Amino acid sequence: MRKVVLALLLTAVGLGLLLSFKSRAATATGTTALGGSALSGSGTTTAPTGAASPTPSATASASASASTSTSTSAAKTGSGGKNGTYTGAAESTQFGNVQVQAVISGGKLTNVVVLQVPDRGGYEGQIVQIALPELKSEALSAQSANIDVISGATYTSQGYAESLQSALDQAGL
Amino acid sequence: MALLRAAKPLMGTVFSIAAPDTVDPDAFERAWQEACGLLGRIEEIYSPFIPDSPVSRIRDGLIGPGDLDQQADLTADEAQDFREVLGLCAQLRNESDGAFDAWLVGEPPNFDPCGAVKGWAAERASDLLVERGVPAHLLNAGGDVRLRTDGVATWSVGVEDPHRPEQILARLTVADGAVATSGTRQRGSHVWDPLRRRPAAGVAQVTIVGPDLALADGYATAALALGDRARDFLAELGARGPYQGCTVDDGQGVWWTEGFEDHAPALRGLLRPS
Repeated sequence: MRKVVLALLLTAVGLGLLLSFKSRAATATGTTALGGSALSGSGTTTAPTGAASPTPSATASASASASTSTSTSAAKTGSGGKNGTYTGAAESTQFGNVQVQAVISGGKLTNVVVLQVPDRGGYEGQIVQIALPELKSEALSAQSANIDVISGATYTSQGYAESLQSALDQAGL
Repeated sequence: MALLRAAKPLMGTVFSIAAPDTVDPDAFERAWQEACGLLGRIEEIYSPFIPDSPVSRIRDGLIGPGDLDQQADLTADEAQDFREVLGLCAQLRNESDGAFDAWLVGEPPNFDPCGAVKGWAAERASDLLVERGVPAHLLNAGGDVRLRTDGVATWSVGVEDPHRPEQILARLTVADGAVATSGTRQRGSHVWDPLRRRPAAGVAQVTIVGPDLALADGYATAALALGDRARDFLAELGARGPYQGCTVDDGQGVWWTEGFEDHAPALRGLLRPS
C-alpha cells in the first residue's frame, strides 16, 4: 500500500505540471480518500496568464457551465444568424434532472455542455455537474494545456437527447 | 494550428470531429456530412431501442445470424458488415473470457452489441473521412476517440479523472490510434458483469490506448466488468500486443501497464504500482 501511495503522490506531482486549468465546478468537493487531496491540490494550479485567450465559443460555454441554473430560457450570446448558446429544457428522468446547452457557431452545432445530470456514481459528496469531453477540450485548449480532446466515460440518456433537442429547436437547427 | 470543428448527436451521444484547418473547409464539411450519414445508417441497423431494427429482431429471436442475407432492410454489404460486427463481438468475448459478452447483456441476459458497435462505427467513419480527403482528424465518439495524423503532428489526449471530472488524470500523445475510456461514473454502473450477473464494481474507469477503437473500447468495457481482476487482464493484454491500459479503482488507486507509459511520457520514471 505504501508503494501505491508513493506512486500516487509522484503522479500528482508529475501531473501538477500538466494540470494547468482551474477547476470550474464551484460545487466540487474534495474527497478524503487516498490520493484525493494531492490530486485536488494539483488541480487548482493557476493557468499561465499569457495563455488565457479563449475563443468566443469557449468563453460562452465555460461561463455558462459554471452555473447550475435551471433556467430554460435561451441565452443567445453569439452575433448574427443562429449563432449562440442555447439552453435546453431541464428534462426530468427517473434518476433526476438532465439539462444541456448547445453551442452554435457558423450556424452549426459545435459543442454540447452538460449543465445538470443526476449523480448516480455513488461517490457521496461528489460533483453533480459533468461536462461532455468536448467542452473540456475547448476549455483546456483555451487555457493553455494544448490538449486536443478528453477521453472519458460516455454520458448517454434519453433525458440528454431530449434536452439537447429542445436546445436545437430554439436554435432553429 | 487551428482546428475545424463540428459535432452531431448520434447513437445516444455526441460525435464530434476536429481537423487541422489546412484541409479545404468545403471538403471537410462534405466529408463530415457523409460520415454522419454513415453513422446514422449504422445506428438504424444496430440500435436495440428501435423495435424492428435488425439487432432487435435477432435479440427477439425473429431472425438468426444465418438470415442476414435475406433481410429486405439490409444490403449485401450491410449484411457482410453485420457478420463482421458479430465476429468482433465473438473475438472480444473469447479474449476477455466472457467478461465482454454481447449475447449476455443485462438481466435477463439478452443480445446487445452496443458495446462494440460504437467503436466499430467510429472506425468506419474515420476510414471514410480519410477517403474523402480529411486524412488528419480526431473523431470523438462521446469520449472514445479515434485519431489520425498526416504523419508529422501528434494529438494530445487528456484522460478524465473519474473522481474529479473537471480534472485530467494523464495526458497521452497519440499520432495514429485510438483511446477508449469506460467508466461507471457518468451513468452509474452501466457496464454489466455477465460472469457474476450484476453491474460491474470495483473499478471506476478503464482507459485503453491502441490501434483500433472498436477493440480498445471492447477491452475497456471488459476490464471494467472484470472489476478486481481487471489488472491481470490488462497486464496480459499489454504483454502480448499493442493495447495498453490504465485503471482507476473505486478507492482512487491508479494503475497502468508498462506499455501505457509509451503514450504518456509523464508517467515514465514514476514508481509504477504493481
